[in-house]
Order: sequence, then C-alpha cells, then structure tokens
Amino acid sequence: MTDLPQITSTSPISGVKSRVLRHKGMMIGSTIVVLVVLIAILAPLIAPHDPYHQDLLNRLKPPVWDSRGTWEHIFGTDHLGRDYLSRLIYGSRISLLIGIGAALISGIIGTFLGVMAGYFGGRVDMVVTFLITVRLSMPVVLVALAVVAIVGGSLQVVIGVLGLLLWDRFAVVMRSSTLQIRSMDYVTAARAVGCSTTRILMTEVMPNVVNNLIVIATLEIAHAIILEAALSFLGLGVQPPLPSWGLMVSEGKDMMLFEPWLITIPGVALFALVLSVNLLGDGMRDVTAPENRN
Amino acid sequence: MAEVMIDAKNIVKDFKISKGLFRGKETLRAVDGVSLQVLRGEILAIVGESGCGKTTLAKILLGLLQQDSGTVELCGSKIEQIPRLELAKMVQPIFQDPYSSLNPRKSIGSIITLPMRVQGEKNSDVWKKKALQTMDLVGLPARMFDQYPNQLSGGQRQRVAIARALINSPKIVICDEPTSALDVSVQSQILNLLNDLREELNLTYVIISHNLAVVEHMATQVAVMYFGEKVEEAETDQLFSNPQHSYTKTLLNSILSPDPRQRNKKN
Ligand SMILES: Nc1ncnc2c1ncn2[C@@H]1O[C@H](COP(=O)(O)OP(=O)(O)OP(=O)(O)O)[C@@H](O)[C@H]1O
Ligand SMILES: [Mg+2]
Repeated sequence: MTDLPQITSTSPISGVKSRVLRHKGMMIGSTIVVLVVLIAILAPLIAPHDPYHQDLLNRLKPPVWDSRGTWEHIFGTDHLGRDYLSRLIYGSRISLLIGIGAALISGIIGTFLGVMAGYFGGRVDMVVTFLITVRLSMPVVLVALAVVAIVGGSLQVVIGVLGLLLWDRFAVVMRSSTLQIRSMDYVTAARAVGCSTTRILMTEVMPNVVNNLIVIATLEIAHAIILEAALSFLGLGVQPPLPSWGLMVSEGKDMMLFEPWLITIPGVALFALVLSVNLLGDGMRDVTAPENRN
Repeated sequence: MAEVMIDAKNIVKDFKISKGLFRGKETLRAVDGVSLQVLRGEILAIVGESGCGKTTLAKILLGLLQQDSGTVELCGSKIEQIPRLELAKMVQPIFQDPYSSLNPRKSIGSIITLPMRVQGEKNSDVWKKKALQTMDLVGLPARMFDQYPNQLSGGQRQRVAIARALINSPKIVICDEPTSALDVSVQSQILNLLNDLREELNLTYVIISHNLAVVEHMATQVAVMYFGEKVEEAETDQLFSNPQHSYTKTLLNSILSPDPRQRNKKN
C-alpha cells in the first residue's frame, strides 16, 4: 500500500518559486538589487554626464527638488562641479564590484577551509578551527585600515584585503553543514561504491551545502559594501577621483551643514543597496531551507 | 565445500574519544576480537544490543573502516589489498535509514547509475538500460528514473538503495538493519525481495538486525554480539532451540510470545 506513487513536483527546485513570490522581503530586496545591477551595467548609457568632468563654475548646485535646482543636474553637483547623479550611477559599479569581488574571494577561501575541516575532521579540523579563531580575533576595520595604509588604497587592494578578511562566516557555516552531511548514509554509500574523495566532495557534499553558501555570500556582499564605504570615508579605500559612494559621503562631509544632499543621496543609496542585499539573503535562506521538505 | 566469501579473524577496533581539550583521550573498544566466516550463499545474521559494535564490524567488512588488528579476507584476498573499485564490485551495503541513504539532490536514475559511472562506464545508453533492468528487478516502475527521493515512499527508497547496491552484481551484500526504519507492512516486502534477489543473483548476505523474527525468517547462521565480542554463533534453528550463552538466552526470552503460557514456560 505504501508503494503508491506520489507525484508531487519534479525536482526539489520547483516549489521554491511559489515561496519566493510569497516572500515580501525577498521580492523587495531582489527588485532593488536587480535594479542596481542593471544601473551598474548600463551606467554609460543612462548617466546624463561624464562622472569625472569638472565644471568649477557650476560647483555645489543643489538637486532638482531644491528651489535653486535645475533638471540639468537632477541630484546637483559636487564641490568640483561634477554631476552627482552620474557619479552615483557609476558609483554603483564600484560598490557591486567590491561587494561581489570580496565575497567571491572570501567565499572560495572559506568554503575550501570549511569543507575540508568538516569532511576530514581531526587535525585538519583543528588547524582550520584555529585559523577561524585567529581571524575572528582580528578587528576587520582596523586590520583593513592598517593594510591599506601600508600598501596604499586602490580598488584591487580593497577587494583583496576584504576578500582575505571576510571568509570566517563561510568557513564556520560550511564546516558545520559539511559535518552534518558527512554523516549521511549517502556519503558512506558513495564511498562504498568506490567514489574518490574529490568526487564525493563535488557531487555528494557540495550540492547539499551550496544553498547556505548563496545566503552567506549575499550577506558578505552587503558587509563588504559597508566596509568599503567606511574605508573610503576614512580616506583609505578607493582613491579619488573614482566615484565610490563611501568616497562621495567622505567628500561631502565638510559641506554637510549647508549642502546636506551631498551626504544624504549617497548615504540613502548605500542604505538601500545594503538593506536589499540583506533582505535578499534572508529571503533566500527562508526559501531554500535545506531538508525541511523530504 | 563451498567457497569462503568472508573470512575475518580476530578483528579489533578501538575508537579514541576526546574528553575535551586538555583531558586527553579515552579508548573505547567497539569490536573486540571477532572472527567470522561466511560461505557462499549463506545468510549470516548478526544480532546484539544497541552499541555492541555491529555497525562498526559491518563498516570494517565493507572496507570503510580500518581495523586496528586482525585480518579480513573477501573471496580469498586481503581487504587492504583489494583496489577500491574492485572492492566496490565485491561487496555493497544497504543501510537502515532510506531517508539518509539517498542524496536528496540527485534523481533516482543518477543514484542508481552512480556505481556504473564510477566504474568507468561512459555510455549513457548502457547504464540507463542496466538501471531500468535493475529497477525492474527490485520492483520499481521505470517512470521513477527521473524522480527525486523526496517523491518516494520509505519502501520505494529502500528499493532504490537495493538497486544501487546490486547494479554492479556484487557477491556480498551487507545489510545494516535493512528494515527497521520501515513500516511493518513494507518490512516483509523488502525482506522477501532480498530473499528472492539472493536466489536469483547468488548473493551472500550479512544481515544486522535487532528483530529476531527477521533473523529467524532469513538467516542460515546467527552470530550474537555482546559488548564488542562475538559470544555465540550457530545455525539459526540450533540457536533458537538451544541457546548456549546466557546473553543469547536473555535475548530470546525478550521476544514477546503471543501465547502467555508459552512465555511463562520460557522464563
Ligand atoms: N566514529 C566513532 N567514533 C567514536 N565512537 C564510535 C564511532 N562509531 C561508533 N562508536 C562507538 O562504538 C560503539 C559501537 O557502535 P556501533 O555503531 O558499531 O553499534 P551498533 O551495534 O551498530 O549499535 P546500533 O544497534 O545502535 O546500531 C558505540 O559505543 C559507539 O558509541
Ligand atoms: Mg548500528
């Protein structure tokens, strides 16, 4: 009797779709993220001006909603007369590049360490756990500041430094989920069938831990974007004249009192992007919760 | 004299259990000097209480764990000297919990054909054909080839696990409590299937079970384990009618007999 066929869905992937559509936070988050990604990709097409073009006669023009604003510069101009909207649009490229680049590097490092520790256990695990502890005892901002101060700030350096600093959460989560998967009988079965360790890791373990990876990756992207902004704000991130949002806040802070939009516009952009990346990450965690649908 | 399929001598396996960072390690002897011989076509049942080392012994016989001392020979060769892929063609496991023995991310077809792909069979027509044959053999409809484990019942999942174990025609199958996670109604189906397959494919079984009814029904030989040691081994009828070791007697007495007078007699 129990051998009755149960035809529900064709794969574990379907069913996720309907849950995505019902998840409000995820819908809002993914909409904004997709929008920012599109803006970043299409920047040269949609930016009304050259973000590097200085026009000292038109310095500190207020945005269009101000009585003195013009449609020529919708978000006004900065202290060098550069179009603020265009800088904001190009700045999205920097934020995304740093977020994705840092998350990619740290994702590779953290996943490698975490999966090795979880799968092999023993000494490997001891070493990795030690590395994680060492990493966690280093204050990210201070270390990043120090390194950038020594090496010199540039886009590549910031991506590299953040990538080397943000792998801890990947490692911790990958370690514990690998530990859990390792004890499953299908891993033992794969060994008994003669699979090599590499094959087991790639085809039995990884597919079952990778959904956690996507969730942490989004959270770390948001983390890296914030850190880049902080570093740039302190003058140790990407260097002018690159239009980074953090740098824009930093350059605007001296004129905060009389030209507050110089800070609020990039600030709101940062806030919206980080919030929506986080919403997306949380949503993905909720939607793809691993083994609750057997 | 029939061929000796499994010949294990004086197997000892210790586990080191860390008691905490600075408190050193403690050794736990999970298997303590067990010797076993299984002839071709026999069904050896291993019984014993939880934690007495049955699964550990099974893993050693499968080559998944290395014993600390003693030797295991399968079909006449030392288990350490059999190459990984050869060993896989010789002996295969069937596990207790069909919910954990199938990778939820893989289709049934991909699970069943894995052993063939690992052995280097490249032609997808060959392994698909073989998989469908094997699915038919274990009573799975062909349409399940493209389904996923979460769409199958426990009994069907166990059939998938059996198909995976049998697709490369191993000589020995080691079943670790193959039915204890299943519904009572499905249990006998799976046991009958295992019995039929044994005759059809000339298999040798080692069956680990808590369930003495299963053992009595299936096994030709029974080994009783107690705290890592094999305390008794005999032919099934003999063990059930005339148990020697006191632990075996307790074990047999613990089966509830349907007739209360019968139960009193035993005590
Ligand atoms: N990897 C391991 N590390 C440490 N101890 C272990 C390990 N595997 C098993 N043990 C211990 O070895 C002993 C025997 O375990 P085993 O799993 O072989 O028992 P079992 O007879 O199969 O029990 P059950 O009937 O509950 O399945 C147990 O005390 C267990 O705690
Ligand atoms: Mg066991």
